[in-house]
Amino acid sequence: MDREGESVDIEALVAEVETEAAELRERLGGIDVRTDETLAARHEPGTGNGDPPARRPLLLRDLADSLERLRGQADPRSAPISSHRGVLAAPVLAAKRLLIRLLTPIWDQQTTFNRALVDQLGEIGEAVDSTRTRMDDRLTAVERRLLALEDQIARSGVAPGPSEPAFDYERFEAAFRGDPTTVREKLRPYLAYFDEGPVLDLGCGDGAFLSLLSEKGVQARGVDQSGPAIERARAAGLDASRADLVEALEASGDGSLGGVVSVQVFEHLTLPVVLQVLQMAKRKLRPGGILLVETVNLASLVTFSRAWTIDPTHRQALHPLTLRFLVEEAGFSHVELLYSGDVEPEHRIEASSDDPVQVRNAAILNELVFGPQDYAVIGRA
Amino acid sequence: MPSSAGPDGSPRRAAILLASLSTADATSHDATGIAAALRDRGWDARVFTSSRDAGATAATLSEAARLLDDDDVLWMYHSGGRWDDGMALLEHVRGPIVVRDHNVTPARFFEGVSDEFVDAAIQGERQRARLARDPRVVRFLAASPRNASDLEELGASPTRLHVVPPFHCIDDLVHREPDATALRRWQCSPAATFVGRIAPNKGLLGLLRVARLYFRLFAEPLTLRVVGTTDPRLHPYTGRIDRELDDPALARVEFVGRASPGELKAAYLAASVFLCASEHEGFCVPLVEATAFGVPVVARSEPGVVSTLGGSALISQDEVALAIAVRRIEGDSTLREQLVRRARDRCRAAFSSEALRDALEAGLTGV
Repeated sequence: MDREGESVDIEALVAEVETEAAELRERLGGIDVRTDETLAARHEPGTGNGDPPARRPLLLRDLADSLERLRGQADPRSAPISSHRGVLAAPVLAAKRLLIRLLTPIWDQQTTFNRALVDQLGEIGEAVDSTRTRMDDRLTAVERRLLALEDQIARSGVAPGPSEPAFDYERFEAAFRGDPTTVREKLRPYLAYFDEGPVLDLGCGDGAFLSLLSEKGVQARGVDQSGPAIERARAAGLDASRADLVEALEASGDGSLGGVVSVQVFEHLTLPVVLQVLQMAKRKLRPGGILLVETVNLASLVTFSRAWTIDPTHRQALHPLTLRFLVEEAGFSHVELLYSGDVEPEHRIEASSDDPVQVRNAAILNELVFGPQDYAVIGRA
Repeated sequence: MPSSAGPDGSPRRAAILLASLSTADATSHDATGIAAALRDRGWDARVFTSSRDAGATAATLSEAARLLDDDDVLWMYHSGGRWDDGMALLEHVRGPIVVRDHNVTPARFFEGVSDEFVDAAIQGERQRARLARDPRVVRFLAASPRNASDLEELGASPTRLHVVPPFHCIDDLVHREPDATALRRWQCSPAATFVGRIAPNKGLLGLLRVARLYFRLFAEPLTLRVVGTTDPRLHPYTGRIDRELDDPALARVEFVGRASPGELKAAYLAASVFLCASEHEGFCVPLVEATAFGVPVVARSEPGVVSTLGGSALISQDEVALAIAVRRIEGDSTLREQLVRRARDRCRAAFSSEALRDALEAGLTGV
């Protein structure tokens, strides 16, 4: 390869790397690369019942190969005897054999000790795994109890007392709800994620997304606490009912849902309820089912003078990275962020010249101040 | 390029048909790129589709049906999988037909993963074969030499066959602002990066094997970032990937999911190397994108990959060699620069906007 010049001889470089690979393979006696098929076979021999393979505890899985190798090396005499000394090879080998015979009583003890050590190591591994599993279970139970308590406190804290005036959300929503057609079109890109029902829409409002799903032929139902909104949804022939979203989700069978969607609702919940809904959704969705949660994008500062502060019932700020983290923590995989609600171009900052510094600064400011106003987190159960 | 004037002197019309139009899809970029190139040459070129994303602009198939009786309309049919409505429409056209051939992923990749995908792949390949033997087709524009060879095997006449690499939106991506949040996060950990759908033909399990080999050989986990959309219908496959990720050797593997254009640019800017273990490609646009962002390519040897970047990337069938190649590039900035320079020369010559327009013009000469 020409290090200084313009060109690199790629064919020669590939040949060089492949030769190195072959040498490494030979030196290491073959490189074991476990695929998931071999892992699955190793974990669950001969079940073949179509269920996903049971997971072997992590520590033991890593230790298993090492322990097997150590057991094979526990007796030092298992190494082959050889000599490369030509005519002297025969006497050298005889001397080695004699030495082995003389050392046999000591090596027997050493071998016994080595094997006991390896067995002990295996037992420690099992004990650690078993303890970890028990701790995980207990921690989960404690977390559930804690969530239930926090939820109870949160719920008891929001109901106005008998002498306090109640905030009329229905009238507020009627004043500030967007144009139904615009709302519907804004939700349309989410349709692509839902091919299989039933989909449960938590906080379905007047059924904008339910109607899109229905047009696509995906079975869907929704719940919302707003009576007038539910009436409008029903008038449009949609399957919607007035209910608490947590209760509605809880009432669904485990693994029974193809999708759970919640648009502009999570910001009204407390953090414990958010966590509860996410964990419950994971349980209620069948494997591969889709969770989609849309909320206000607080990473775009303009939302603080618009969507976030205009509604006094917003409780829980959820930065996109926070919600993505929570969704992943709840056990969802392939979690994606999808931004929407671009700020009107005329409200964005324009550089006053073509100066690259100004253009760059305007872009940075636009990103920070006038970024997309909403985002959705999408995850697979 | 053929004459862009119709018999009465008005611009000649081209109806570009494709199954679905999206703002983030290589076939869609190709269709819209071809339409723009034809329009620049004075054609009245429009894209017609069965379905489209909210952000994409195209007319519907029923609008295309209004042109059926016009002898002068050139019909360019984008073939890339099963599309019953498109094939039905094509039965009735009177003008000349040009088939723009994209890759159909073979059914074998989806066996045991999705019956729906297996069926779609089989039907898609059948429709492709019908097109290859259709005497009304005046020209086949294959997206890569592999596609051309497939078409020839299916019965297309070599005299009507031309290779025209896909039009793309890489220039737009280069000039777009990267997503600031993603860039801040990812620049802290430059990563071997792969961009592509999370699908069996993309060789994600092979990619993880290379990452595991890297760990075995160099005693540290490979930082690997995978950018691409998942399809819930492929969950048996994505589930296998999830199980693999339990391995501590893959502790630094991150599946980012769907990325906005700004996030995609951020991913390329934070990439140490583009690592591709794909097992079937017609043409691999992300290889060209990576090159545009100065990211050297290490890839599994596969005909589509070789025809895209052969001779200007480190390509091998040996996964151990791929792991070693990644390590070498990570530690050798001179090698990195040399590889990028070579790949850029290749892309400029074969896949720049000018080169693509020239190839299209050559492909349509005489139509």
